[in-house]
Amino acid sequence: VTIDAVAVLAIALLALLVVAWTWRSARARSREAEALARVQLYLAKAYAVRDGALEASRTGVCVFGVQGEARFANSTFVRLLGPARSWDAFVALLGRLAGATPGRPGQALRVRSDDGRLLSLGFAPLPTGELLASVDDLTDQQRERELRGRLIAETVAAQEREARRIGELLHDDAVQQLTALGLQLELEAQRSGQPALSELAAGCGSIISSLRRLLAELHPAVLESQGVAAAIDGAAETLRSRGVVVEVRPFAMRLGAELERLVYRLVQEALSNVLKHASATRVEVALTTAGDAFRCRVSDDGCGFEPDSLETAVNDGSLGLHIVRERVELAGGRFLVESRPGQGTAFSFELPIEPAILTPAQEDTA
Amino acid sequence: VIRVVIADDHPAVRMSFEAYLGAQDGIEVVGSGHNGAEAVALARSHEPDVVVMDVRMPVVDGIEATRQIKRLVPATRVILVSAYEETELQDSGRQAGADRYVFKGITGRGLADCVRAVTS
Repeated sequence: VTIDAVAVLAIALLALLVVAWTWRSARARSREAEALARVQLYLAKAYAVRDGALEASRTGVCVFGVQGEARFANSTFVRLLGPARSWDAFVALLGRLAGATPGRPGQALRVRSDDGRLLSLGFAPLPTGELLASVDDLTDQQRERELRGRLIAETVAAQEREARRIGELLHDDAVQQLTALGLQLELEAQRSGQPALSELAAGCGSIISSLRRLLAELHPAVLESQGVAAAIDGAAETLRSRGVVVEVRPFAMRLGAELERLVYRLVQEALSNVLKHASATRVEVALTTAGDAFRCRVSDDGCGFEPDSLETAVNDGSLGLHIVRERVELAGGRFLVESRPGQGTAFSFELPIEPAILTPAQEDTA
Repeated sequence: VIRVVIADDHPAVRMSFEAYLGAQDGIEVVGSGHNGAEAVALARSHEPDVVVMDVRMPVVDGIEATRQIKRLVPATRVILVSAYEETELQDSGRQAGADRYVFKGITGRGLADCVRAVTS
């Protein structure tokens, strides 16, 4: 009996152990499965968030898996480049559009799509081992840039036409009438011996001299023949005639007719501001180029002002510098005014240039 | 007497040049024209000592007229008068053979002195 009882007890214990082990194993598997399900759910949510973010992006994007398969493409990508299939298909498309391979990661490649849109394509590896290809549509941006360029060109051309028209009116009418009047007064003074008439004749001469300077500023032929520094040097004569020392630093490069006209008008406005507001004794104009930018700085030793008052002045209707800023920014450049009361003013601007339009000045053979 | 031809397309200027120079001792205005072509024709017919003319004129401008006068009547002196100060115009005038380039606004006395100086 004792032996049988011990055997039964042992068997029961063994059975209990087997059941407990089986139950623990099943429970562990269940937990693993639950954990795996949670991870999968988390990953699905993460991918959904990523894909949602990529879908909302204005940039077309496509994620290629480690095997090169297209895993996700947002609608912008599909709209611009068609349905995404694989990395190899993407490379082949680039080859067809641009005759080029994708290049280095992060390097943008500009191509024309089949429907004529200007696209910027690039790619970058993701930490997951996937590849992210991107495409930006630059067509509207380029149109806007072209439109802005045309607008500036037309604005400058209209200003030049108006300046020429006013110049012709001054030349054909005011200068001629004053010349005739001066000579008649001088002749009358000679005949009658009245000194007052001589003074009036001399006054006519002074007015004609001023008008001649104005004519030269309105349509500086020297701008076309000798470039912007020479034209600015001519425009500085008005300041010099008031006793201001003006130094225009040499600048031998030619910038192209449109840009030179724009730069000349901007500096002319700056010099006009110096004349009207600065009470300066010395002005310096420096023109330089650096890479793809043209820089100009007009500095004076005048009374200066609080830069904040510039906005007040604009609000009060003083638009000179405001218009200069608008024109610089329209041309894609930057404009800066540095000033402090009693410490002079430096007016500077930077304009983008195409290096191709830069040419060395012609040798003066005259 | 210094014989002078005047050419300017602006009537008031032309008449005042005529009146002033014509009233000066030793100067006689022998003809006046409206443009460069008339200045050349007057220079050929009158062979004046001096032609005083504007630079910018219709038909033939003062620069071209100077060139023609200097070729046809080499002894005639030419004084160009202009409202434009551009160096290029002045250089063109000198290259064409002008003896003087003066600006509008010059006094009548200054112009008369100039006429005497180029013939002295």
